[in-house]
Amino acid sequence: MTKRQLEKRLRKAFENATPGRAISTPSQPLLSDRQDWEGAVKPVKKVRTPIQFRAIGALAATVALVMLVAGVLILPRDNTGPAASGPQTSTPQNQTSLPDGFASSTIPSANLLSAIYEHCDVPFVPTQVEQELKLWGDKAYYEVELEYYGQKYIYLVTEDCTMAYALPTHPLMEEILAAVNYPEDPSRLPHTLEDEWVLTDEGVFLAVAIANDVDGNCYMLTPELEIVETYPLASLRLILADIFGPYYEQIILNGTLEVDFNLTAGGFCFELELTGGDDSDVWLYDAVTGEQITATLNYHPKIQEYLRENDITLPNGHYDFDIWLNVYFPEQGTMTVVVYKHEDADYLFCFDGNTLKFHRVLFKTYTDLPIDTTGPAPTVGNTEGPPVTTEDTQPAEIYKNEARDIAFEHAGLTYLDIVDYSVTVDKADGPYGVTHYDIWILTYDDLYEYEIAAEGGRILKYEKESLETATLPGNRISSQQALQIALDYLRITAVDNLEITVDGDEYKIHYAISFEHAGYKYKFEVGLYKGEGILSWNEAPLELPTPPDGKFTEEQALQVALDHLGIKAETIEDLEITINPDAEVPYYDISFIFMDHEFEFEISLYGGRILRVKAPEVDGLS
Amino acid sequence: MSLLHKNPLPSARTLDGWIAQMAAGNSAGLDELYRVAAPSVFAYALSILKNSHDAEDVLQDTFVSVFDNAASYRSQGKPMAWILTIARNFCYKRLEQLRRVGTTLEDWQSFSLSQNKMTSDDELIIRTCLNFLAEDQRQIVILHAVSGFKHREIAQMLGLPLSTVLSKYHRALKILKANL
Repeated sequence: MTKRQLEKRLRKAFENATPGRAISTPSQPLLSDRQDWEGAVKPVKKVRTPIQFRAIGALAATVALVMLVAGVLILPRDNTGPAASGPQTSTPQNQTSLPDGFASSTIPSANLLSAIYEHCDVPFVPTQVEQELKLWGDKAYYEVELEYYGQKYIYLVTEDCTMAYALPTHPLMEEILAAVNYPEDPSRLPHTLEDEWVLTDEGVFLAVAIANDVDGNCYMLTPELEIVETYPLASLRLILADIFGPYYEQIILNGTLEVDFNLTAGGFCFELELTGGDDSDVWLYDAVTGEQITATLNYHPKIQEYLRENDITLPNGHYDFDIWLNVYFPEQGTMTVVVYKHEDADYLFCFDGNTLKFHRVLFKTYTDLPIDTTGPAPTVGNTEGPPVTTEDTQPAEIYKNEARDIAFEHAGLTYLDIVDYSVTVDKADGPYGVTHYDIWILTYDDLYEYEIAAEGGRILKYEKESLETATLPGNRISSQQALQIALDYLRITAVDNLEITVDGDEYKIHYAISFEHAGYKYKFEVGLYKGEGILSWNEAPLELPTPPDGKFTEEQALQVALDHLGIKAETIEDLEITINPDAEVPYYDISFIFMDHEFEFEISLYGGRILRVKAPEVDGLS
Repeated sequence: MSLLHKNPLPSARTLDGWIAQMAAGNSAGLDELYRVAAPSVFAYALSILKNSHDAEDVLQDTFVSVFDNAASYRSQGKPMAWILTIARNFCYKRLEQLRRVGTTLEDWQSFSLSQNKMTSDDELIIRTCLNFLAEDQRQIVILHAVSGFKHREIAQMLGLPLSTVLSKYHRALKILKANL
C-alpha cells in the first residue's frame, strides 16, 4: 500500500465515520439541538441507545457466564503447575519465543484466578478480569483487578501463581492528612489519591502519591508504614525548565506535561512525559532523591549478566551508553531500551516499557550495511553467543548514503542548502513491490520527499512542496503592524508593559509580543510576513500575591460573582459550584441561571479573583 | 513528475465565504461548511478523545459555536485552523469534565462507531489509528491526511519543529502500514 493509498483510506474512513454528512441540511438538527440544551448543564455521562444497552448487557452476561464456568472449572487448582484443563481466557503464553531465562510477559488469567480463589476469600464470580505484570526489585508479580458489577477488587499474585494476596484496607488518607498537617484544610489536597500496591518478599505494602497538592508535594507510604515526603514535584518542573531554557514556556503551552508516579526496577520514580517537544521527551527521576534513575537501569543485573556470559569486555571499564524510552516494537509493544555502544556493535537491552522487566537483547552493527530484504533484522538471545553480522547477499543494492546522494543530486542541492534530512528504510510491502528508502530533505525554502528503490537506486517518487511563498523581502511587516494585528484581534487599543521581540528557530521566525490588559497577560506570536497573521496566542490572569490564609469559601466566591453582575443570590437558580484545586491557579467553577441566561464564572480559590467570565448580554446588567 | 497532494478541503476563501453567510444568519453556510469540514473536526476530536460519542458531541458543539461566533470571526486566511482550535478547546473541556467526575480515560475510551456508511475496512483503519499511534502522531496524521494541512502548517499549529512533524508523520504511517 502506498503512502497516498493509505492517506486516501484514512480520509475515506473518517468521512464515512462522521455523523450527519448524509443529511442535506445538517444545520437544522444542529441548531435545533442547540435550542434544547442551551442554558442547561449537559450531562457528562453518555446516554446510550437501547441497542447499545442491549449489546452491553449481552456482553456482560457472556463475560459473567465465561467467568462462572472458569471459576468452577479451575477450582481446586494444582499448585505445581498451570491448570492444564482450565479455560484460557487471555492470549497464549509466548514463553517459548523468548530466550532462556527470560520471563513471559503474559500468563493465562485462569492461573491467576485460580491462585486468587485458593488463597483469598472471593465471595463472587467476577464480571471482568484485568491483569498487569509489575516489578518490584528483580521480582515480578501480577496485579489483578476483578470487577463485580462495577465494584473493583485488587489482588496481587506472585509470578509463579503460587500465592495471592487481597489488598489490605488502610486508613491512608487520614494518616497522610495527619502527617502532613493538613487536617485543618483538607481541600488543599486533591480529590483522589494515586496509589501503587507492591508485592514484596515480606508481603503486600502500599505506596501512595499525592500527585498535586497545592505546593507540588508528594508523599508515599513505605514498607515500614512511614510516610515520606518525596522530592518536590515543582522542582522537577524546574529541572525541565532548565533543560528547555527560554523555550520551556512555549513548549508547555503548546504541548502537555504529564507526571506519573511509577514503580521501576530501581524503586519509585516520577515519570515526566512532555508531549510536544522533540523525540526525547520522557524523563525518569527517583521519587525521593530527585536524581535521574537512568544509571539504575544501565547497571541492571541482567545487563551485567549478559555482558559477562558473552565475554564482552568493556575497555577500561567504561563504555558509552544511551537510553531510549517508549520505543515501539510491533510485536512486544512499548519498550524501554538501554543501548550499549561497544566496538563494532550496539547492544540493545530491552525492558518492558511499563514494568521495566528485562525482556530481551537485540543488537545492531555500526557498519552501514545494505538493507536486508529477505527477512527481519537479526536478533540474538542471551544464550546464542556474540552477534553475527548480516551477509551482503544483494550486490545490486545501494547504501543509505548513496540513496541520499541520488536525491540530493536530483534536487540539485548541496549540503549548504540543507537544513535537515532523513533517510529511512521501508521494508514493508513497498508501494512498487520493492524495498525502498524514504527520504525527506528540508531546505530553507522547500520540502522534498523521495522514495528510492534499494535495488538499483531508481527514483520511485518525488515531491516538492514550497514552504514559504510570502517570505519575499518586500512582504515583511513591521513590529508595529504585528502589534496592530494582535490588538485588532482582541479589539483593544491600549496595553501595558508591552514587549516585542523577534523569536523563533531555524525553520520559522516570528514576532513575539507580550503585554498586559485588564488583569490579563497576553502573548502573541505573529508571522514576520504579510498573510501569515497570528501564529498562536494565549492569555493568563496576572499573578497577584496570595496570602496564605486568603482562601475564599464557596459562599464568598459566589458573592464575588454576584457583585460583579450587581444581582442578588435570591434571583438566581440552578446554581452549581465545583472546585478545581489541581489547576495552575486553583479556582471555583460557578454556574447559574439568571433571567433565563446561563452565567459561568471562574473565581480563584485564593484571593477571590475573577479569572474568567462567560456571560450573555442581558438588559440592565453591567 | 508531479504528485502534489490534493487538499480535500475547498480554498480558505470559499470557507470564509460560508462563515460570512453564517455571520449574516444564513444557515446554508453552515450546511456547506459541515459537509466538507465535519470529517476533519470529527477525526481531530476522535484523535484527542478516542471516544466516538464524545467526538460527536464535540463535533456538534464546534459547529454550533462556529455559527454563533461567525460574526466575530476575523479571517487570517486560516479558517480551518480557527475551527480546529475551537474543536480542540471543546475536547480539552470535555477531558476536564471527565476528570472532574472521576472518570479515567481508560474507562472512557471505549471506541465504537455505528455510522451506516462505514465499512469494516473503515473501522479497521480508524481503530488501528487510535490504538497504535501516540496522541501527537494521531493528530499529525489526521491534520495532514484528513484535513489537508501542510506539514509546516501543522508544525505551526502544534508548536513543533517541521522536522519533528515530518519524522512523526512518517513514523506513524509506518506503524499503520505494519498493523493493517
